[in-house]
Amino acid sequence: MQGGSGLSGRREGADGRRWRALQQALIVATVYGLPVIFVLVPLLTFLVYSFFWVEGGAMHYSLSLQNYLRFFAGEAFFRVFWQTILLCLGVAAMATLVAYPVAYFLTGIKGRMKSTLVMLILVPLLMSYIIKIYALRSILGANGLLNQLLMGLGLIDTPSSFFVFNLNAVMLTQLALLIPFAVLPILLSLERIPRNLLEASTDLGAGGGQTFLWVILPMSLPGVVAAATFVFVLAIGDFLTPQMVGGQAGFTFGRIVYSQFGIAFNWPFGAALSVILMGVIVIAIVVGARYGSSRRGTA
Amino acid sequence: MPNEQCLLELRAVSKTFNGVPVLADVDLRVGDGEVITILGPSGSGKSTILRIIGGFTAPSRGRVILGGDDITEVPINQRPFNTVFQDYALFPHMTVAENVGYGLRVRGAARADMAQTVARSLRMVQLDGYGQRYPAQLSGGQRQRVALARAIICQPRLILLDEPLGALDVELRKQMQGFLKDIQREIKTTFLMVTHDQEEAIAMADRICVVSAGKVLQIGRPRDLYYRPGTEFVARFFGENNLLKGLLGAAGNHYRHVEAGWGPIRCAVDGQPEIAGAASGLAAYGAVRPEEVSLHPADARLDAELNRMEGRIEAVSFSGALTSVRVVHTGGACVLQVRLQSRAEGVPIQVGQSVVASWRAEACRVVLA
Ligand SMILES: Nc1ncnc2c1ncn2[C@@H]1O[C@H](COP(=O)(O)OP(=O)(O)OP(=O)(O)O)[C@@H](O)[C@H]1O
Ligand SMILES: [Mg+2]
Repeated sequence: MQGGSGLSGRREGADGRRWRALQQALIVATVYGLPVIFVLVPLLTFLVYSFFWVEGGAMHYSLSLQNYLRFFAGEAFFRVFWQTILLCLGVAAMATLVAYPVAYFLTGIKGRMKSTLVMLILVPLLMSYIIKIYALRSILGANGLLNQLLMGLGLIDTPSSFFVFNLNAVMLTQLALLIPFAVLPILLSLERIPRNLLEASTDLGAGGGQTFLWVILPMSLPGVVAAATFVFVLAIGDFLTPQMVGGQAGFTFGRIVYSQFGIAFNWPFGAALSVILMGVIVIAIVVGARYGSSRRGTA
Repeated sequence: MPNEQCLLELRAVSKTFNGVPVLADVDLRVGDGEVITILGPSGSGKSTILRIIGGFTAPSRGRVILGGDDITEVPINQRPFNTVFQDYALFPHMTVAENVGYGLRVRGAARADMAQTVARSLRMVQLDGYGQRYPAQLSGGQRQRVALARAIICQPRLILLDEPLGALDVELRKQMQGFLKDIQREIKTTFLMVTHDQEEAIAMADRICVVSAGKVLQIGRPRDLYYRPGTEFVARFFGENNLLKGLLGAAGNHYRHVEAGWGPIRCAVDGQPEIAGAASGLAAYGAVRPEEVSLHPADARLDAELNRMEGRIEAVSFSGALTSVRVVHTGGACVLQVRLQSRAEGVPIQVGQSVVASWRAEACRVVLA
């Protein structure tokens, strides 16, 4: 009896072990498999596609570099590409500049008030992108709040079209949409600065400005770089905002990519442009990671 | 602070955090050039005292006086003090040299002067050649020395050290104690140092300030605290002590007796006017250190001036240089810890043996219960 149960127990044990190993394998397969299927495979598909080509409305499934040659030779594409990079760098820089004081102000606040304010910054992130863009478009538009305000202040006489259906509009809208993404990393890096370093600085005779310039700012730099990288990557991948507020004048690279898939039906060329865009994003992330963590040590 | 000039004074400083009292009427006078350690158990308010002096925390009541001037309201960066923080608080993004030179940079020192002064300070703390490293690339003891160099470079009137050796292991601690002491002798700056290690306090201090539950219990030279404790807490705080319970006998100028159930204990009271004048009949202890007691055969003839207690050896335990012996009074009324020099052949004493323990009145003090 005892031996029997022991034996069956052992057999169950072996089964159990096999079952557990299977479970383990399934988990591993899911954890590593899903990203491969949903991220890596599409990316690779794109990469392969970018070497196919379209002629006379027909797909040619043979490898060729002509999509890339077309991009680098065709001045129009390259100009928009470069303009978009500058635009997104501008958005990243401005978003970071605005976000820093906001984050700095937030670190100075304590308790309930702070969590409320942080929530206020987070809530827009959860809202629909389209709704936010519409809202901003109405603010920037000819009869929008901004124009009303400027006219009310007597700065302009007639509604300005400076803020609508051009790159300015794209920039302002993206700025407004992406600032919350910049606040968070900066806030985190500011909060991570040990209080006693600020005390040490003051103890050594530094005034508030010196402490900020020599201790707080350099120590929050990783957060600043992360914020700028974040915003840049999000801005350059965004085709919806330019589509909706850019109009004819506000043409960006994202829109060109989009049009290759949606309008021109030239998937291979679109794929090649996407690969180029991806390259820019990877470079941005690598540069960001590099400058964001170049500071040594923690003690 | 007998001979030196008074540099810093705390006058009736109290502190409450959200209504909870943390310091109560702390008075402290720090002499110019002296080393004072603030000693006390965890949570007794040591760091708070230091932070009030440094200006990091404002006292709820009381004044902080520097050389006769009231500096209670003076901001941190205008006080001529520098702090060595417990976890060093080195700037991680600056090199050792930049850390050390920070105080000079803040004052707008010329680059060349700065480099020279920094090099000199690094040499002083035996870290020349480490200037270009970052704090993360240093050992604990080295970081500690950087923190010290950073504090002394501004030539403060007073250096505040909050458990500066707390993060170091025992061996390194001992070494750094000597090192700190040497530096202090060299620069002659006043040190005010927090610790909760009594050995460290004794090794470092000219005077020790014992704090417990937000009150200063006693301030004095290490010897005085060791041999003339003012309170039971202090008597028990520094190493082992025999506190023999009884009632305070009649007043006297040089000696008073503590009447224990098993006999009188003669105690010296010189230099302790408050004890000499205390009312008789108060509950009190005769306090004598274990190493002050000697043991004799039961039939030995002893000087009548000596305190004596007849008893039986209950335990003998060897612990290196010293051997601890526990003597219980014949009637069981009292237990006495005795410490003898160890000998290669063993102390001439065995468990169960009857003995007479004796000690001089000069080595025995009254502590009010
Ligand atoms: N900012 C604060 N707010 C509220 N209570 C505080 C604050 N700072 C200290 N306390 C309290 O004051 C008391 C004394 O603290 P303090 O840091 O001075 O103790 P300490 O003697 O330095 O102890 P330790 O040896 O553990 O460092 C503690 O009970 C602590 O909880
Ligand atoms: Mg403390």
